[in-house]
Amino acid sequence: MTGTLSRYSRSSSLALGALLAGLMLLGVAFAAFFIVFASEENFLEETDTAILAEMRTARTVSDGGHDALDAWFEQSTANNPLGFLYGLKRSENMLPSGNIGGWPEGDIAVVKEGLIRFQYAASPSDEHRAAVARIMTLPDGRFLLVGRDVTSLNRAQWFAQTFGWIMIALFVGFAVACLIVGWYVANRMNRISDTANRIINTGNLSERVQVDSSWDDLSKLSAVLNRLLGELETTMMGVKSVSDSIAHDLRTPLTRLRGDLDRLPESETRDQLLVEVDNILGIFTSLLRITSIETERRKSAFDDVQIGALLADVVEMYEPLAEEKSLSLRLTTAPCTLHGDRDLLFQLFSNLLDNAIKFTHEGGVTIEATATGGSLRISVCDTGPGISPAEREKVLRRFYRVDKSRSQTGNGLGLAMVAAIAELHVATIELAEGKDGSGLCCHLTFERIA
Amino acid sequence: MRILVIEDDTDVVGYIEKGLNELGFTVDTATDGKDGLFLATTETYDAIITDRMLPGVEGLTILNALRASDIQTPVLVLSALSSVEERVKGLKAGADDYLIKPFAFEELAARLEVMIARSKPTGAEQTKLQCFDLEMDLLARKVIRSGRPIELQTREFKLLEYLLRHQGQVVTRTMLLENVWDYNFDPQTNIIDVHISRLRQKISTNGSVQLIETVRGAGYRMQAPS
Repeated sequence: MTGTLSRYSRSSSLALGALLAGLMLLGVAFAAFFIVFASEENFLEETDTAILAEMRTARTVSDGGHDALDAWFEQSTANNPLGFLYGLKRSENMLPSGNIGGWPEGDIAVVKEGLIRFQYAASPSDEHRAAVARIMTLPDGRFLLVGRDVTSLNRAQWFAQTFGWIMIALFVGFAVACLIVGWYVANRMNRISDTANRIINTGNLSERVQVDSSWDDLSKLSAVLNRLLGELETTMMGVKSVSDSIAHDLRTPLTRLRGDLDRLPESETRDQLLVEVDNILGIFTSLLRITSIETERRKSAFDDVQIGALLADVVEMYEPLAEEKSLSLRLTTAPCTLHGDRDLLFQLFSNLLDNAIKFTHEGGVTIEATATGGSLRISVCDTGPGISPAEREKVLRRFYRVDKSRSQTGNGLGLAMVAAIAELHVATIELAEGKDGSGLCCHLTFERIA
Repeated sequence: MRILVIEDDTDVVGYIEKGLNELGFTVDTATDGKDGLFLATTETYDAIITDRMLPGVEGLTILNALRASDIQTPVLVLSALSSVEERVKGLKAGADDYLIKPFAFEELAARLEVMIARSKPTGAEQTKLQCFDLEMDLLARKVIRSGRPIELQTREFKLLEYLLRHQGQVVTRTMLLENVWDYNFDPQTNIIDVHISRLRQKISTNGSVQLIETVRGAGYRMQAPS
């Protein structure tokens, strides 16, 4: 599960999608703030201040007596440059005067303390409009209403809030879309890399990346990858058929030549020729084996291999050789299984041991297998002359031989075969000097799946 | 001894026929699968050597047809298909041995002789093997040479047992690797020779006769002195 999650979390397209979604959420926060800011209370603050100021004027005037207020009221109602609404009611049952065509009734809401909202119509034929107002009781017991028309303000506030909500909806929609697109791209990328991985692991070049549409760049990439795989497959087939023809065209006559040589009367020349032919045949066999390991990448013979028992068999096989040269041969191993090809692993370690014994003239060879966590490290170390750091990389190539070893038998393919087998088993090879700075150590690290 | 060789490459047929004639075998040849199958089912042979890729009927098809009609003649399959998988396929189909082309004639001859000897009933499973003055007790896992016990390691015991079981026959180095060590690989050195020489040292005493003989270009043969 965590594996699946990390496959998505490490995707750049999904990361970009998430980043954009994050930015969109910032937009949502901004729009929300905007909506709160555009509340009725904030919108009406200015209006309320104006109403309160006008009321203070009215109170001052009313201190001058009943008539003074009447005069002020009449003048204000008639000549009203600031667009205030006024109403004056003598008592509960009397008809009010003023410019609001009556007294607020019915649908009255309290905006905040003392401030009310209501609908009015200046004359019965007019449209109803929205207004806010405050009402005060005058010293003589009458009620004075001072208010303002807020129809356009209300409309502006409605627009602002609606705009805010639309912004939120759009941002949330975009964020979701970004995540979906990111996931979609990551998912398809993962499918492409899964296929590529499977091809690398199984060596089955006939597999293809799935192309599920044809309109976008990813489909184009898939198609190009498929064409590349096709080319690779053809090339590999070519390599295979070339090596097959080498097998047929060169090995068969060589074998026949060897048979003919063998039937000649015994002589020193004949024996020398036989050794030469055997060498050439050996090179062909090794070369074809390496090629087949590298190109076929067959894992059908893979099984759980008891590595301790296998190493013991290799050591047992080479012990007489070490004994002949008075070299010590030590094996330290832990019981441990490895998923691999038993015959090829035997070949790998026997090549390493063969080399180590061949180049060591005193001291000995040690093989050490240590399992740590999910990996298995096997080191083959000798006390021979070692290989200079500059040459370590090269010895894994075909036919490369360190100069001073030219006199030794062998065809320079032993380590190349080791490298090919190690690669098939997804193991890493590291050539280093021994613990005390002399000799050569070959460290192989296998990732254990079992 | 009559041998049937089914192989479409006339060079290879000639090479095998010439060699087998020299060893005293009577050889019939067929150059395509149909003729081969006809001969194999109508005549009696001591062994059949067949190629895998043949015109007409494929080698493994011939093998299947033979086994289906209950003809148990030992069959050695030749093939240029060298992978382990192909080898297992051949052995599963009922082949008694599988040899990869190209091969040295000595390898073919050694395998053929061992194969024919194995197909002849020997009676009860032996518990004691003997060659001249060397005795092996398989139950007690003891080896005695002229009355003197010899200490052998497990692998040396197996090696000697294999040689004793195939007395008088040539066994090749590859056959020893496959049967004694049970690993299919190419040794980079003459490691088998080293093991044989060690075994020779262990089973010999002062003035004793050499029982394991080196057959040049082929392998080894265990034989009592005549």
